[in-house]
Amino acid sequence: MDRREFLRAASAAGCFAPFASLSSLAYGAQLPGKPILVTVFLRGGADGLHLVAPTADPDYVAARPPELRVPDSGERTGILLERSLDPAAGFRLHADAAPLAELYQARRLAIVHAVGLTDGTRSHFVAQDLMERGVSDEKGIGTIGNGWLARALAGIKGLVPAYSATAATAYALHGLPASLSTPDVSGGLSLPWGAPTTSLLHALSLSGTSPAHRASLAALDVLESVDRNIPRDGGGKVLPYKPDGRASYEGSAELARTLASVARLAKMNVGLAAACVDHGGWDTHDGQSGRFANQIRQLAMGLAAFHEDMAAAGRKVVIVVMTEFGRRLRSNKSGGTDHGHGSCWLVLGDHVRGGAMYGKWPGLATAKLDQGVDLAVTTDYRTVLAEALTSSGLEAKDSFPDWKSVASLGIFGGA
Amino acid sequence: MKSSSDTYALSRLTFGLNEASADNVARQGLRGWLEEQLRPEDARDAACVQRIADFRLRIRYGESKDWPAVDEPRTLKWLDAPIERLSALTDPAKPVANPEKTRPRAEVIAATLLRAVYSHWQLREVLCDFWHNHFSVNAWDNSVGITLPVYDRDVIRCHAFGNFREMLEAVGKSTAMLWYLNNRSSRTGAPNENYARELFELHTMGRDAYLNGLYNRWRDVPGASKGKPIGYIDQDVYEAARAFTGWGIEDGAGLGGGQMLPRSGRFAYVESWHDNYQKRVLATEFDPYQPAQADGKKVLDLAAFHPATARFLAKKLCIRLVADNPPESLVTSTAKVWTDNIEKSDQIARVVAHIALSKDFGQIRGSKIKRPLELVASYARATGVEFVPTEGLVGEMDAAGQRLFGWPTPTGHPDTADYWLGANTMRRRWTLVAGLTDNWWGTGVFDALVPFGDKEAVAEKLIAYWSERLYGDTFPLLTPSLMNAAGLLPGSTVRNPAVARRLVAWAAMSPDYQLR
Repeated sequence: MDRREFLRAASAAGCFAPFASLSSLAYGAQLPGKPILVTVFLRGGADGLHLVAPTADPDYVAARPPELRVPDSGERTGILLERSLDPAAGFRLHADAAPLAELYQARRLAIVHAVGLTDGTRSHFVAQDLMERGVSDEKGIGTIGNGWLARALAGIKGLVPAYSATAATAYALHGLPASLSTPDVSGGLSLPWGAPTTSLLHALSLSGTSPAHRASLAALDVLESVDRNIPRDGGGKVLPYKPDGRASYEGSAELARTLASVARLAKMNVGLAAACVDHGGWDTHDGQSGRFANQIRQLAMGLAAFHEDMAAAGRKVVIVVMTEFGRRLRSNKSGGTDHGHGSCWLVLGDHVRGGAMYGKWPGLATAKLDQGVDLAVTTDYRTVLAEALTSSGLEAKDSFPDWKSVASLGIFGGA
Repeated sequence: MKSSSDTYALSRLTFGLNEASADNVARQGLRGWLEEQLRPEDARDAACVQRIADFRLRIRYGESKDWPAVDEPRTLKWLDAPIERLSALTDPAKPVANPEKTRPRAEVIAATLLRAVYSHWQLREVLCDFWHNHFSVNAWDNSVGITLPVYDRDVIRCHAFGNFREMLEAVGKSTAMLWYLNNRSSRTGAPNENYARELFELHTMGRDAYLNGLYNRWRDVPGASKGKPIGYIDQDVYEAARAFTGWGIEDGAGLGGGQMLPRSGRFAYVESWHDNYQKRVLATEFDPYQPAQADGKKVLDLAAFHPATARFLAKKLCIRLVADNPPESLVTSTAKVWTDNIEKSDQIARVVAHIALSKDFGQIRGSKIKRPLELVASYARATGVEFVPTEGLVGEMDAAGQRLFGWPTPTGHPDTADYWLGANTMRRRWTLVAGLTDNWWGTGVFDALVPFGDKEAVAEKLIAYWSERLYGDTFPLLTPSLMNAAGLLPGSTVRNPAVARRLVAWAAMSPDYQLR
């Protein structure tokens, strides 16, 4: 009898006691000893050439005004990276990513450059869709109706195996019934007017089969599982979250608050194995200089806090920072950059062989560019995600059905 | 549940049942009701117009060196304002407090909620919501937000039942879209592709017609050799971006030689920023040195009249009005009506009528998930509350997944069920109903006992009455469940207004009430 049948039977027998019987189904923790996999999706196409850049490459210098480059001298000099893909190219990290440079130096953070889709799309929505479904071309959109991460988690038991730290479920988790979607759990997840509402909605949800009925039932189950794990004071008020170690999510940046919610959930005993986080605002067609610096600061501070919090709590984690594509090498005249192709991803956390760049640098000479204008893709995005899945104890084969594994990048394997 | 097909039709052509709309359909028949709705006249909606005129939305902020403190209920003064006056809100020479800059957006939101609940012209409100999402701009950015009254009034509302090609040009020249998709800074030599790309992908031909993954050269696209390519690729985007260079805003930008554009916020065509050389879009040659704006208008023609656009818009309208997966035959017949009326001034009205009077439309029921705006408006309409839109309510709708006029990307809010059914969005939905019922955000209180003259009612009768109001019919399953939730024994009398209201709210939290 699955959970739904059980509920129907219990309800029909008039002995409906929501959840009491379900707690025995709870699982203690994520896969034993394996890191939780967290994806941070930079929505809008983050400019990889403004984050980690070959500052000594004359093609790079010629293509952009100083404010859209990582400079190799002067006030906002980028942070020089050891063990880069091409030492002669002078790879540097954006100055506002200093917390990430520390993680790189501590060998916790790896950089994958010239990564992305092999499909030629420059549409945000198509590119995100392809990546979240785990397919390589637009034919796959018609045939694959759920997310790559959902397929990897399909057999994983647990009350809340996946958490989408977004208002709506990230498409990567689409198709997984037991997931929680909300950007913030700091207010608790109780229902208005308490237990009578819960019982009533259970009964009404079981009375039909529409998507609304199914969603209602799934929601009640997940909400209650998480809500009873959120610490409250005597008056029922949710206690503020206390991160471990020296971690601080202070500042108002939304990303940091969202990552704090992931950490909070990861530390509950609800069986969390994976989480999806969104960070929007990267579609910098104009005014990129200031906007991008601000985005990078939020990203770097958020990731550093989350990494410290999880490490201090002894919770293993792998974080993949991804984006749908990079941006045009040559800037436009609005002080911004248009949609491009190859981009830069970050991988950090446990077992990551950090402090190094991975992939193959194609160069920025016109003949080496994709369609003569954009950074080429030399690493299929699925290579990175598959390695991250494996490292988290999950199977990659169902996630990427039309993908044939090539040589591993070897990002994982460290302590 | 049994219910007439007209009830179901109404639930998808309005923001929810109320007594007036049900009576009107019963009197006129669906066809007659529809014919009237497709020709809205504000003069025949005096009660709603008056309600908006009388409405006061609070504004409050502290003093600074440039302005005194303000805390007052204020009329919606920006709804009829011209772009010139709205643009002055962001004039750096005359600083104003941020709540003054967000005020135009807040006023449009308040008016939108009032119209959704009270307008006689419900179908127009449904279509305005559709078009606002189709031609979505993010008005939570103040540069766009101050222009929202004009965008809502002169672009969306004005063309909601009109001709698509005309609407497309109104959008392309609107201050809101020129800001939002950056075309105002697109210049010859380095055009900004943002608008051109979304014009094809989101506004007209749709992403199914984006064939960049299949073809690298324009002449390889099937049909291109005959001047009728079946889709578009990046080369078309680049060329279209060139065609729109010089389409901008009078935003005070320098023109060179000490000249400057005025700062009126109006559309501007700046010849010296336009790329005058020959172009080729969708396998059609553009000669060099065309008259002012002719290149851009030609792109709008090519995009608006392309068969892919007819299909994309037909399907999108069917998804909005009928079902997440509308029948293929209905999409095809709708696309044909779209194309057959492509020059007509009431093209969109004819297309909507075709969908609403189709056999499929009457047969498909409860196939759409209400978005939070639809949930709020339908509940307010059914309960008959004296509804007051407030900031608190708008914030709660945002938490439920719908930030009005503030979807962050140019796709607009999703229109299929998946997005709206996550665990927490469901919870926020229930919270919306509870909060409206218990007046948490100052939106008004309704009395569920009023229909029962002596201020008390037998619980079963109360539930039967309100399920009729909410659902258009009785809903037998509800009664025992609601009685149980409220701890009421059969035949109990309800005298406590809070208990009576809560019974109504619980009925509206049901999964069935989330459908339309």
